[in-house]
Amino acid sequence: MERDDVEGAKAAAQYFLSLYPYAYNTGDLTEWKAMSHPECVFCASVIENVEALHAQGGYQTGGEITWLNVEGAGNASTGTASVDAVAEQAPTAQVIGSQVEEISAGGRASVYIDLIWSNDWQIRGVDVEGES
Amino acid sequence: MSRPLRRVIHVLTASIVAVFCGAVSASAAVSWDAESKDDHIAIRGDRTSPGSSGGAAAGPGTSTIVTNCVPMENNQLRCYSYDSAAPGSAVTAITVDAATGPSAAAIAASVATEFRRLPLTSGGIVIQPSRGWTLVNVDTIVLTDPTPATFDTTILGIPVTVRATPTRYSWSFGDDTPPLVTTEPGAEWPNPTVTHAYRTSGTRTITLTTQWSGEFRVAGSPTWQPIAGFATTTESAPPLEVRSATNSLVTAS
Repeated sequence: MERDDVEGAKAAAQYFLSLYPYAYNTGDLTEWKAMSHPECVFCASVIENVEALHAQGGYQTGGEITWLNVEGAGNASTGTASVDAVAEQAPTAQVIGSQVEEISAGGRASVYIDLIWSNDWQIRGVDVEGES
Repeated sequence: MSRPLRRVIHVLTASIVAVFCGAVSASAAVSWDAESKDDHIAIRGDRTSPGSSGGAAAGPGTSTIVTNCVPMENNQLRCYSYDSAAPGSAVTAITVDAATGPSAAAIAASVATEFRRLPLTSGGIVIQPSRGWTLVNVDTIVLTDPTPATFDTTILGIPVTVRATPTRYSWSFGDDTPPLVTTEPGAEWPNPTVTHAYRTSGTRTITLTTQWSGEFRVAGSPTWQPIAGFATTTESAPPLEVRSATNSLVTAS
């Protein structure tokens, strides 16, 4: 993420959340951790859950995110940015051993992402409100 | 230097309210809804500068305030905000006790009281035909302007926007018939939706009572929240002469 303006923040936010299904599917949290701010509760929750799932040999499939609308405010000179987005998530299944379970039918959600700049965009917080 | 500080406090207070009011539990199908909530609310949007009576604004126009509050331990919120209209401005970060914020119920009750005191203006009465008289047994058309009204005000020290939308109209036609109650604002000829045919001649006064429903949002918040109760306005049109058609024909001949 080279850009420190709002476009860079939007790109960083989208990239980060595209790592969400990737992390669950592969167990690879390297990039997720690198972009997570210590105060991000959502980010820490994902790390904990992904590690727990993969520790027992489990994984997920699906869950890909499609961005429908992305808006942002802020830039690096102010230190923070907020990204407001509408996204659609594909259905997600979880596999543990021989157990296959659909854990989400997928759907649309409003996503709020807070970013903080320190030489790069970090994710400060994520709030997802599913549209029931 | 008092102006930026004051602004930060305003936005900060609004953020606390938003955190309290924003507990939306949606039964979503997305998997990421199962993650722990940051529960933080990002508030943004155009905030009009304080009114002329406030005297705090350095100039006209609007600025975009971005405020974020992140819950910390010990029931504290860490809020930081900045003014997007002044990109060089430093981020202001404050840690506050979440318990000191006004409760959502207090805000809602104050807004409901304030709503009924708003200087709402009735949408006006248009009568067709517009010549000041109409005929017995012929449809007289009435309509009003249904445009919602928006007010910027301050509730418990928090800047809020209140939006009033007319939701029900009661037309009294000044004759013996009961009022016509409708959700239709009416429409002009040739496609009228609210009409009345007088059965007797005479001078009648048409009175419109409008029921308004309200919504409010704290400054910059994207979410409108309903206001309990309604506000009403009443207005009367100038007297309308209802003529008998047969009399007119006799007079004309």
